[in-house]
Amino acid sequence: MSVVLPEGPSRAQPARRRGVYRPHWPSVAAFSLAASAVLVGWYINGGKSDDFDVLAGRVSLTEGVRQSAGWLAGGLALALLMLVVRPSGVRWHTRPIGALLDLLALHWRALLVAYGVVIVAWAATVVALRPPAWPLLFDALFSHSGLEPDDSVFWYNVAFAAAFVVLQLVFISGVGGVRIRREPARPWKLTFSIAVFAVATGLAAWGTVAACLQLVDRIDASSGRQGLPIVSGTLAAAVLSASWLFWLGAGWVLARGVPRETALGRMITLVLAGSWIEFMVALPVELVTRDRTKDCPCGSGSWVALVSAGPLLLWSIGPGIFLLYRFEWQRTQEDPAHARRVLQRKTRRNGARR
Amino acid sequence: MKTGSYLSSARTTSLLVLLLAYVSVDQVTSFLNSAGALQQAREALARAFALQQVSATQVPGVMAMRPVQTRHSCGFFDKVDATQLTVIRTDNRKWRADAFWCDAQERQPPEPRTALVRIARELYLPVADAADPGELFAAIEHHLTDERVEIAPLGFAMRADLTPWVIGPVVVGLLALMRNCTRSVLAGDDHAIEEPWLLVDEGVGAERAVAGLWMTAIALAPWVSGSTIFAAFAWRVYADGSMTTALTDVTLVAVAATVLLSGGWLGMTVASDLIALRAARRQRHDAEARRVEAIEAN
Repeated sequence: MSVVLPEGPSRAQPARRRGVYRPHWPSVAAFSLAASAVLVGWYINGGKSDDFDVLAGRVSLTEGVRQSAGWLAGGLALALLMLVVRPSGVRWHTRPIGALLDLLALHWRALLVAYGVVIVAWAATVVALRPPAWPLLFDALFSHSGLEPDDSVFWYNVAFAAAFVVLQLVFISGVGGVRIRREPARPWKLTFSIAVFAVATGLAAWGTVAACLQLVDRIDASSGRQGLPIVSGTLAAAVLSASWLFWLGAGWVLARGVPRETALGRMITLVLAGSWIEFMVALPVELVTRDRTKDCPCGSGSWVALVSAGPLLLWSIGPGIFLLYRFEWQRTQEDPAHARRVLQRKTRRNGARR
Repeated sequence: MKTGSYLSSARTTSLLVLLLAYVSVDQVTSFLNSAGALQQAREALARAFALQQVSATQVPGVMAMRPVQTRHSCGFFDKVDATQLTVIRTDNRKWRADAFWCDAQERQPPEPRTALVRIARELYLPVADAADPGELFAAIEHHLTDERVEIAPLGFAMRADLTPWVIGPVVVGLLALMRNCTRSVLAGDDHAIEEPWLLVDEGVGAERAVAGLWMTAIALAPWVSGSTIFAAFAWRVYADGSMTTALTDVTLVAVAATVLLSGGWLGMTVASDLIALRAARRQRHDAEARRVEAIEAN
């Protein structure tokens, strides 16, 4: 029976190892430096904080700074450890859900239409409910925090939409173009894919942890319970950065020794699963606690998790469908019998309808 | 190996899984609805305390009330002075609520009692004319936090917020059972071809749509039942102000996450196995049809 989808098309031709990711260290280093500059810039901009004011020449080694440094060092150490421990990447079996992936890949056109419908429905709901910005739709749907829209946010909405699409394109650019005789994408493109993956998964992981802290009432210092206020302030940036560093390492491990389609497939699976788990944890917690934080949800872990889960889910579905299409296209290229089987199946279904 | 009974068992189990997921959501909905009322009642009591209309001795079941001056957010950039009241009950449970007025003109002496009377009436609780804010609050809190539900088929009553903790692992177990049955059928020679089930039979039109919905429901049911555990957990923390240690919290979150993730994975693999079984049965039907055609041609 040929219903089990192998882990990407690579398994059919392991000897050729087409498009296998090899680290392109100059571009990796340039990217890391650029990202570090952004991080430092954020800290400089955080000069309003009592802990950190580089522009004013004040860097006090307060508890907050020490804690943030600890988180960053921890995230980096875990990422490096993972890279050292798994020099040849990881094995990732999709066989238990192979038939499901097979079915989804076969119906990639229907999924694309469904994705379009979801985007239209999202836009229509935004118009109807008028949240302050379109990524905050889940706030209007579930939290009812009463945030008012402002006319000046129009350009923010446009910028959010542009960033949304650009990040999707940057992510899928790592897999290369669709041509009959395809050359592998340049290494730095996959590096950007890994960076985008790390941002998305890092955000999902941070949101899930924040929702769990909100769940046990350990995110607000006024609760009297020892906890971690990771939703605001320097610590929020530190935890988010640590999470990003960790997932950057994880992305490199996932991409090691496998073709690009497989690497990106693994990454988008993690983003989709991570944002779905974030949503499933954040939604019930937010529904219970929203009355307590209704006056300002800004400090609520479940609220930030919920409003970040929605755009993340919407974002990850697009590249996911593209990769399913790539799997299907690749299988058709490598296995002529596959196209015949698909045709037979459709012919039989049409015959049954008649 | 005849595997028809396995498929029949999987079919029955799938219905049970969906039913349990529904019960879990139903239970959670009931106390999600009361979360708003409970928080409003607590804030009203805190306001009554801030206005010196009530003290610890006037609220049944309360051992102590500890006020702390703080600031309360009334928006992303607005904060007002507030009194955070921590209430410790005689059973050692505790909760807290802020007394604040985002609009200073709302600070009127009768307002807290009026709010409590309104909440009590919304809950259909008897309200005595002479009842003070403390008594009203105690009646509301008892009604909202100590309610028990009757599990008729099992013949016992349990607290509503414990129901998801029971149903979640049961759903995981049932899905494991279902996957075992489905894989047994898949591994068998006959693929239980004589046993009909809409999910694994080739259908068209409405049949196909219903089969798709049924399969989607099976895949989503464990996510839903697992998610209700988080709702129940959050409710108990906020309703009781659970006096738990960090270790207890981590353990409970780990258990809830394990149920959610294992259930989610099982739901997906069961759906995948059912799709594989449908394809296998279709191939078997085709082979049978070709064999009959060959015999007729000869």
